[in-house]
Formats: sequence, structure tokens, C-alpha cells
Amino acid sequence: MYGLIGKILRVNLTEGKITEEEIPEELVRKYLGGRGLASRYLFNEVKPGVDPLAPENKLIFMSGLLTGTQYPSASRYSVVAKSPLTGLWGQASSGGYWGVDLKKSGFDGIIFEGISQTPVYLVIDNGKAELRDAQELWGKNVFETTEILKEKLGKKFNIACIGQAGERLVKYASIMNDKHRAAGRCGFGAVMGSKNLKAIGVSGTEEIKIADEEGFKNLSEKLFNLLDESILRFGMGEFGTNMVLDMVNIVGGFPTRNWQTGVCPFVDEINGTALKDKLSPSPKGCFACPVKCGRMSEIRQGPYAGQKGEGPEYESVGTFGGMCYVDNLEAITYAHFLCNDYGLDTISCGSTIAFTMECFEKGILTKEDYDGFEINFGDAEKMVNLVHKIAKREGIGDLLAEGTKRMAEKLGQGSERFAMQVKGLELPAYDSRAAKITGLAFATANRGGCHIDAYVQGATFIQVPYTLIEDSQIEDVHKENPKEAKVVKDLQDVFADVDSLGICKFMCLALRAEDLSESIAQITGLQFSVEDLRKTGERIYNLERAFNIREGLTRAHDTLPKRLLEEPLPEGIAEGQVNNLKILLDPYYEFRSWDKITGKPTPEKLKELGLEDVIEQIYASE
Amino acid sequence: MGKEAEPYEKNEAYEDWKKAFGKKYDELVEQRLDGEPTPYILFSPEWAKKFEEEIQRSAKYQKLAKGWKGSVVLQILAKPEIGFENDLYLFIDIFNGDCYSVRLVPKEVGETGDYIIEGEYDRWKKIITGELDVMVGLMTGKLKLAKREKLSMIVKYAFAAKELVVSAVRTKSSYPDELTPEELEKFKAMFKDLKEFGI
Repeated sequence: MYGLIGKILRVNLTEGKITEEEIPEELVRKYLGGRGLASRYLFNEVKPGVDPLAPENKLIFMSGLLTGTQYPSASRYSVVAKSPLTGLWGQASSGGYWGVDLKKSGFDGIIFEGISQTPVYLVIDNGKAELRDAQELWGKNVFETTEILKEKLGKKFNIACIGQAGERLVKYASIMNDKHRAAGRCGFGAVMGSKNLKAIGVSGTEEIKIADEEGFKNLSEKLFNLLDESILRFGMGEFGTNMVLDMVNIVGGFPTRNWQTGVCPFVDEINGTALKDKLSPSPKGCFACPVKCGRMSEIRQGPYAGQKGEGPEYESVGTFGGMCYVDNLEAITYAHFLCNDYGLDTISCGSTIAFTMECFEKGILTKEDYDGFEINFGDAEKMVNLVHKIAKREGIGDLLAEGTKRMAEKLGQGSERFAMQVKGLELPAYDSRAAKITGLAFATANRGGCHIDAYVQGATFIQVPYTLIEDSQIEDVHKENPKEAKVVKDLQDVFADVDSLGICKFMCLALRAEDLSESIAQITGLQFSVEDLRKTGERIYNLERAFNIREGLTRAHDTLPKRLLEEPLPEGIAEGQVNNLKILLDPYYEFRSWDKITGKPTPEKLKELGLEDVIEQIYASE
Repeated sequence: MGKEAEPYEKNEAYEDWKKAFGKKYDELVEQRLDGEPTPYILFSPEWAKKFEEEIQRSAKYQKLAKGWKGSVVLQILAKPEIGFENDLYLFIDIFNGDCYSVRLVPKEVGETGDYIIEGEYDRWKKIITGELDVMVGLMTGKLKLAKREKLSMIVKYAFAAKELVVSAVRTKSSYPDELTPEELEKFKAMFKDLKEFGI
């Protein structure tokens, strides 16, 4: 098979049985690889109503169609499963080198099913796979686990693993690879922990076959040259992802004090320039990356001096900094390092701590509730302390380990108003009241409160219209323009493609749709037009939606926290703005051909996308 | 929001050039504003004056650019067939949301600008006609940012930078590559007059 290796591993952890399966070519044509292919397997194999932490849930790792090739940023793999945080379809993606090494090991993906009686890890060495005992690794965090396994297996092995947070089933535990890179969102570290699966070590030399090698090489070189001259490379290379902090704050959309305002008074203490000055980071890139937005940093002063690691990324600074109102970059960085080591999603973790701070501020939580523990906005030391407690489920940490949605359900007293999540997934550091179309993207994202499902911030907060879709111009970010609902739909579709190809979304600020469709044609040898690309993305997106519908999702779930709908931003350029979602949701459903009452994709739409088998599954009860 | 306004930092090279040539340059612009047919030709001195007025009229720009420091220079790469024998440098003297002037300047002055955006004429034309978004141009390398060490300000004020371009788009323009042969000859002759200002 061209592009993909053409094989997956199926690992039944209950029986300790490993089998190989070929990937039908038809599935590649329809779902490409990565997220799309994994979602198809998940839809077929996980029945509705399954507990995400039960043996019946499947945990699927899948490299992208382009992963491991010389195409710019072709490093990524996806993890897909039913999410313990949302109870819906979930996906997380990660870069680094692990996804490439998985493919080189001889398999495009792995489907884990069942639950092992005792802790195990999987080793794949050039097409041979075996499960090994992981009892000595259980209880260890990510960095140590990685080092032990590299020592034991050899340096050529690349490790993906969980830390203590995943073992203790923290609902937003992440899976980490290359030590510092995270498949962070949706809580798949907990799914891995529930299966008693500690790690996966991969190594190999399998080559990826490319149908039109010359054409693919030329296209990749052309794109590398383009990116070489791009402001994206200079900006990200210079400041990392934290370069956007100033842009978001200046338009009044940097969530501060758990989204009580969008203007942070101490941005100069935590922005890209501050990070560069205080942590002297050195750039670090993923496989085949021309941009190198990663940073290797060292904390140089204060109580955390000497700690080293990768990051912090913008989202970590946004959640631990802005949302928690902490102006201490060293504490933010250390909290981020801890999350990486424990295996925690920094967005959900920081956001949950910010929510907790507001609960204390409002008296919903008091120090009598948890052995005298109390935390206020801006308390850097206690914020760091809470990361430990969450990962270990100690004291109040056990409550926070459930995420903001479940916390609000338990605490009540109106706290759901400021539990900043959608469908259970905590929102990222972009206040949608300052760029309205972002609210629609958050509300409708298949995995919940997600910023990269549509990555519409590119066209709003970052002011770069995409050339990946026909039109992504946003006339006025403060106005809900029904026509612009199509921008969200089109971006969601094309980014489903991007995740299935295994490339980085940041590159897509500079790429055209043709750059993707041509690469697919060249690598697979199939005829593949821009129209095919659009339809493929739409097919994947509708399949994921159908999974969620089967789980009971309705239009009512496509919404935002009340704070965004009802509380105007109090200051800044976006002062007075709230999200009026209704104006955008109906036209969005129309562009999608989804039923405006039930939220279901219409049978006609599913048929058009070649998803006939899905029709009876989501209309079965009618 | 941006920082509190700091004192206006004058560009010495630009100030020196203005002292030497500013008055005569402005007189030439006044004459051409009266004498040349409208819309003025893109990147002519009179077009630059109109661009300056558009920026000054933009309340949105003033709001978004509070805190901005440093001059912006648009560098239009030479294209002799339309009269640009050498690279053109359009100096936009802005600070903290205010626009003080927009003038063509000599290379040695242009190169002292804080932020220099370089591009071929055809690409600038596409931006002015709205066919190419300036940020897309920068993302895809169609426009290049010199002095990359000063990137942080451009990034921080992306909305303001874009509004600056919107002011250029609003400036009514005719285009040197669309002139009749007679008009083009006249346009080319103008650059001979500009030589006395070092341009």
C-alpha cells in the first residue's frame, strides 16, 4: 500500500493476544489515516453506551497518511477513543517523533481492547510485537518511565506512556510521547490507565512507499521553501506558540480570572518576550518541521530554579497564567512541566484550578470543605501544589480530577455558569466574546470545547485568513454574521483532513487546499482533487458527529457556558460583548445539512458522503 | 491593552532628510495634488499623501494602534518597465496610534525604518486591490519582513497592522502598469524630479 504501511495491530489486553490486520484500501480512500481512519474503527467497534473506562472501550493509535514522509511537519499521530471526560467521541493528536516511529515499526496503528489484569507495556520492534510486564513501572511518572524503558529496550525505541495521573484515572490525563509531547485532550491517559497499559515502545526501519516519488519530493521542497520565508517560521521560531498571547490580549480576548475579563494587566510578565528573556529557551522541532515552535526551557530563579523541560506553550500560559491570574512565569512553567511529567492536559488542569479559585472567591467552596485548603486567584504556590494533588487525587485534588463539568454538577450553587467547558471539555485560552465566530466553533466541535477542531482563531485572533478553504474572511469579529458560519463548517472539515494526514495545523496558516490534495494524490497514486479533500473532511466530521448522536448528543449540547452567553466582557476593545450563538447555529446547521431540531446529519447528507451504514444507526430508534 | 504611551521617538535619518528636503518635497506634492489626474498613481508622492490622510482619518486604527512604537517602511522592489528603476521606500511615520506623515524617501533613510516590509510591485498591487491579504502575504513569503528581531511588535499589533493596510486599500489608486504609454512616460519622468530629494 502507498502512504500507509497497510497494517494495524489489534491488542486484546484481556486475553494478552496480539493480531495483525490489513487495512482495506477502500478505508484509506475514504478516511486517509490518523484521525479519520481511527474514527471509522471506533464507530464500527464501540457500541453506544459503553463506559469509557470499561474493557469495551477501544483505544486507537493511528499515524497519519503523510506521517514519516518529507512533507513539512508530517510527524503526527492521533489517539481516538470514547472520552472519559465528555462521554463522546474523542481525539487527541501529538507531534514529536513517536508517530513516525510507530509507522516505521511496521504498523500504521494499534487498537487496544479489553483490560489487562496486571500492568503491561507493548513493545513493537520491526514488525514484531509483544506485551511485557510493567509492574515495576507502575507508579512512576512520564520522564522516569521513558528513561527506564529507553535503558531497557535501547535508545532507538521511542516511548509513549502515561504518568501517575493516567494510572489514577484523572479524567483529563494525557498520553505523553518523546517525554514532553502530549496527546493531551479528552483524557486518554485515563483510558490507557483503565486498561493497565503503561507504555508503548516502538522502533523499526520500515519504509513508506510513495506512488509518485518525484512529484511528492518536489511538492515537499516547494512547501519547505515557502515556509522558510514565512513570518510563521520567524514568529513561532522566535517566541514559540506564546507569540499569540499579546495578540489575544490586545483585542480583549485573553481569558483572565477564569474568564471574568479578557484583558490581563500583567501580560508583559508572561508573554513570548518574557518567556524568551526569563527562560532563555532553545527552539525544538518535531520531525520534518520547518517552524520549530517547541522550546526547551530552564527555570533560572525562584523556588523552582533548575527545573528543565519543554514549553510552556501558549495554552499553558493562558490557563495557569491568565485564567488563574498568576503573573509568575516560573510557577506557570513549573506547573506545565509537572503536567507533562504526571501526564495531565494543561488546558483542562489549569482551567479546573481557575474554576476552583472562583468557587472559593464566591464562597461555593470554603476552607472547611477540604481540611483547611483554600486557594485564591493569583496564588502561584498553591496552584503548583494543586497540580500534585490532582495527579495523586489527594484531598481536594480528587474533586478537581473530575474536571469542571462534574465539579459544577457536584457543587451546584450556580457554579455551572462559570465552569468553562463545552460537552465536558475545558475551553482553551481564547475568549469567544471577543471574536464571535470562535463561539460557534467551540459549541459545535465534535470533541467538546476545542480550539483546533476548526482553528478559527487563525482567521480571527491571529488575523490570517486561510487559503485552505474558499473563503475565511471574517468581516467584523464582534458581529455574528450568519454567512460566516460556513467558515467554521469548512475549517472543521479541512482540519479533519489535516489530522488524518498527520501534519501540524500551524503549517496550515500558509498552505493551500491544493497543497494537501496534490500530496494525497502523489503519495497514494489515487486521483484526488480539492473537491475530494473537502468531501473527505466532511465525511470524517459527520461520522464523528454520528458517533456522538448515537451516544445521545442533541442540539442542546451545542452550546457555551452561560458566562459567555450572558455576561458581557467588562473592559477592553470587546467591552460589552457576549456570544449570541442563536444567530450562528441555525445557518451552521443549514450549511451542514443537519436537522435543526435534533442536530442529526440528514440521511441525504450521509448518503452523499458514502455513510449509508450510519443512517440506520442514528435513525434506528425513530 | 498596549502599554501607556511612551515619548515619540523620532527617526534621526528621517528627521535629517526632512530638514534637508522636506519643504521642497511637500511643495512638489502640493503641486501634484492639484495638477495630476485622480485617482493618483499607486506609490506616487501624491498617492502617499492621500494614504497618510486615510490613516489619520481611521479612528479604528488609532484605537487599535495605541502603544505601537516605530516607523513602518514599505519597500517596493524595482520594476523598471513601470518606472521603478530602483526599489521604492515608502516611509510611514507612526507612533502610538498617530500618523505623522507618509513620504517616499531615499534608500538610506528607508533602511532605517523600524519595520520594513518588502515585496514585488505586483504583490503590493494585489494587496491594494484586495486580492491578497497582507497577513497571507507574510505567511506565504510573498511579502517579507526585514529586521526580524522586531517581529514582536508586528505580531502584537496584527489588528493595527491590518488596519493600516485597509487605509491603503481605501486610498483610491490607479496603477502604473495600467497606464497608457504617454501616461507612463510622464510617470517615469516624475522620478527624475524626485532624484533631487535623493529618491
